[in-house]
Amino acid sequence: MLFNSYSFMLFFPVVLCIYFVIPKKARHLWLLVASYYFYMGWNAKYALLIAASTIITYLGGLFIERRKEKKKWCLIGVICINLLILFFFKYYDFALDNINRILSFAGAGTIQRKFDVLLPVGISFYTFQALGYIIDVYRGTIQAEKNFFRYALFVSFFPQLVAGPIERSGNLLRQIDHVEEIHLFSYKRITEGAVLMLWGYFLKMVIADRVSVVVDTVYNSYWMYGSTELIIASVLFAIQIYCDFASYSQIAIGAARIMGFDLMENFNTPYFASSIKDFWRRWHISLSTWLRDYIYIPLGGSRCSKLKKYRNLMLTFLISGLWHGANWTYVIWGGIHGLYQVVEDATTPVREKIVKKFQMRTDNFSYRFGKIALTFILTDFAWIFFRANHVSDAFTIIARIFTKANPWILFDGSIYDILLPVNEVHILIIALVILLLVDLIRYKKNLTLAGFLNNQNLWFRYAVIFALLFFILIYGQYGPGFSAKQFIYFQF
Amino acid sequence: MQENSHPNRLKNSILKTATFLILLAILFAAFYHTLQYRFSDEDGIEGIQQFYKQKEDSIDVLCLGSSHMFVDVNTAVLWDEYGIAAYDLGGTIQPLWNTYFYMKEALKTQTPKLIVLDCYTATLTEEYQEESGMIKNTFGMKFSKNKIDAIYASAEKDRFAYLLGFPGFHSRYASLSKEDFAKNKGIAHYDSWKGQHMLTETADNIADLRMDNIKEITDTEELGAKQQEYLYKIIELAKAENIPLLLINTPYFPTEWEEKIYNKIAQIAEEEQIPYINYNLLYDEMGLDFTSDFADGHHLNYKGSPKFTRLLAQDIKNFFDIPDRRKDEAYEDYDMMSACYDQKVQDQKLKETDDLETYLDAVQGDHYLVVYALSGGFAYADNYGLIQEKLNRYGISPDGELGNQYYVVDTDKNELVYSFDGSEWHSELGTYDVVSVHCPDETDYADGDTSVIIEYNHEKYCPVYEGLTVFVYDTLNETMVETVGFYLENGSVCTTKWR
Repeated sequence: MLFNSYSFMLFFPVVLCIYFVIPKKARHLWLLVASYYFYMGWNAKYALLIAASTIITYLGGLFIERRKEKKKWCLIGVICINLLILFFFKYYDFALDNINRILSFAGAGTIQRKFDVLLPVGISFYTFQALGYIIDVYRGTIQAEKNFFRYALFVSFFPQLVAGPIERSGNLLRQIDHVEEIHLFSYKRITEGAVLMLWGYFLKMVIADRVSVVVDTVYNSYWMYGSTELIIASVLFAIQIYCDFASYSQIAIGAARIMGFDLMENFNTPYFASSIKDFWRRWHISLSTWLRDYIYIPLGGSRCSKLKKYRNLMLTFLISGLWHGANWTYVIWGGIHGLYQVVEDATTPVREKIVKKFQMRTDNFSYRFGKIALTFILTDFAWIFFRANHVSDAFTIIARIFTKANPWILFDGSIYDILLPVNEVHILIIALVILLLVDLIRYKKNLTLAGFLNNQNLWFRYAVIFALLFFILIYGQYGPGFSAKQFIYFQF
Repeated sequence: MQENSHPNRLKNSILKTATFLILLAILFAAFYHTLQYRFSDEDGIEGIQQFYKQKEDSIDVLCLGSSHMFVDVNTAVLWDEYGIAAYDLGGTIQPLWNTYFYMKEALKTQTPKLIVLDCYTATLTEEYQEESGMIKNTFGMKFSKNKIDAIYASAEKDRFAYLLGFPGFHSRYASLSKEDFAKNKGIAHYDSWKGQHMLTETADNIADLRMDNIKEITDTEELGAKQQEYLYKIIELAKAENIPLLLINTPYFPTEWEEKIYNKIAQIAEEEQIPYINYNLLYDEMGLDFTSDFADGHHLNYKGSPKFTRLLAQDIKNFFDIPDRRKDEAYEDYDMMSACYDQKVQDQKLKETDDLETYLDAVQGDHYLVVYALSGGFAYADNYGLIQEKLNRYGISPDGELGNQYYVVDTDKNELVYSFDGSEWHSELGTYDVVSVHCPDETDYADGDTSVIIEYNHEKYCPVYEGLTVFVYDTLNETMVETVGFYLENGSVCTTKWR
């Protein structure tokens, strides 16, 4: 069930109303039932997978806590089973294709595919969430959850089930354990949650889905376009993926907030990052901190030799790339980000020298702006690999950007015929200005839209909320003729 | 617990929520009303929306069907010549299931003495409609069980979205126009309209489509399952309500296969003891002229529809007891409908008139505001006397030495509204229109306009540089008929108008 579907518009209020009136002790059970129903909206069989993952990690947790002497083997066993499930459903086809390529290159024939594997929605998210739990239990950071249903709800909590944020047991599980204590009728909390959801829908339906029309058109027929369209499409993809993914997180956080749960922040103005390292502190925070805590640091992190540190960085980012999808495009995207970080770290002394030599001021707007712009260009360059359908497509697109200059389409009006009609461009510009303002408030004042509105007078709050609401209702991409688009991150 | 335990805080929360919801409802209603579909009357939405405005039990003959019916069954002729109070309730290519739900909706407020059903769409084979047809045949309905059923019967997917309505039309923001904001789309006397749509085009080379052996086709063809199901439902509903039903097919150029379907309908009608008249077999009886009476292969134009309607009315009068309401004061809106229709016919005939002398006579008919604009050396035309003679009727005597000059006449009052004195003349026309007339100023000269400038709703009309320009506004239907020019050429004002 998509957040921007009619089913969810009906599902959520119903779940909420019942959640508000049932006895406190039944709250977690009700949310568990609702979460499984939500997940089974895609494919009922998928529920078996999530149940399997839940049971394995639940039992594993209990075992680790009771049989401390064998906890290492238990941990390895649980991780392996979960990763095998993930591998089979997500990477089987990819691995087979690559093996066949090698075999075919060696002239040894190919292995026939015996069956088709459908990728279960959100498998990477809940697998990582469950693995995070078992590692935390192993480390003794938390105690194993004794109540199976509460643990099952932690793994399957519907707002963040299929596209994050990837929650930590220390945060969400603790809240689930105390679900009876949540005071449901809090005007402030409910309105904050609703505003977050509204903002999420704005990002998705007004910006991401509008921009995707251009991005899909250009990227799926890139050979027809010159550098201007390709650059515009690549910049718009950076906006699309941000709005698409951040929207899901906002709706998830908002929906959870209405029910009394605080999910972790997943995005913090990522395109205001002043370095790649900073970008990863702001982009998909729940994944990057997961990778940091459960992969990068166990590998040795940065408390080792430079070479090992760079190896750890590269490995972490390659895994991050592979986590995003079973395609070399994602692996290369991860690799590029790893490389960026290595280069960024290795060149720090040089860059500092240059700044010093040219007596550049670093406390002014132009310096910060330059760094932000450069970081955006670098991340956007990497997005080309992320969005391209094949690795070869990405290289061709980059080549065309540098060799097929056609700036005149910006001036003779043909850009509108190629990309979007004039009025759609106007709507997009207004929406992007709104996005910029909201992100600036976050960047400068560290306030979310909901937090900012809380400090304002009622008329202003209503004006902003109505403006957003009707912007979505009128300019949102939905309705017959428009099939609700999947959130991009569902496939990961 | 602490937050809401305070009674004032709780009260405040409730008050704020209530205010929010009220404002939301008001704003949503405003946007909903503005953005909803407003197809022109031939498409179907307006037909049923206007139907809801009819006085209860005021319709004696309810005509149902698709465009064949609401184009060909001329409610003005039925009223003018037979005193029949009829309403054409239909939608474009309306499948029988939509007709059935329209009928159910109509019978909530009306108890007609006869229902006439055009059976053209019994020939359709589709089980669902394409989107625009579905919208046109359901979106005008008030929210009701009938509407829900109609949408479920019509749309194969996205039914919930169609039922909500807004998801379907929210993206109309890019095409909003005056129609979306003006009352009744800016159409005068729209409330008296009875659902008929007049077509003005004349189809060329259509006579060849006529099937000479049409009467010899005696085979039958089965109707589509869904079409047959709803045809029977309509028949059963009419019987249950004790309302006589007349099945017809308006005249057009059917295919052989369609005629076989109609033969099947004739069989069904006979079994159900319902009269059925296939007017495709009666072209000659109604005196149709194939060179002038059809707008296209399926529909009659304003010249053809009266011919068919008269035969239909005679059949109705012969077989059913339908009262003549012409002297009934409660039916005054039928007089208005008829007057508007007649005026539109008069407008159309004017548009089709090219000859200068005939035109200047015709433009003196009822319900016109006419601007006569004379430009350049018109006074030296050898047929200037003809123009003078026609304009003298209103006391207009153009001064040949002046060059550009203009005069405004109201034909209803038979008076000269404005006689040229060099000043600009402007006026509001109807509810939404504005016209102004002036001699060219420096800006106009810079634009290359040297003759009298007529601006209608901020659009400039100056069809001829030298000669006579006539702007005609229909004051009854509140719409511009046309602005035409008669050029001064080779010493004469052309006797054929320039369009």
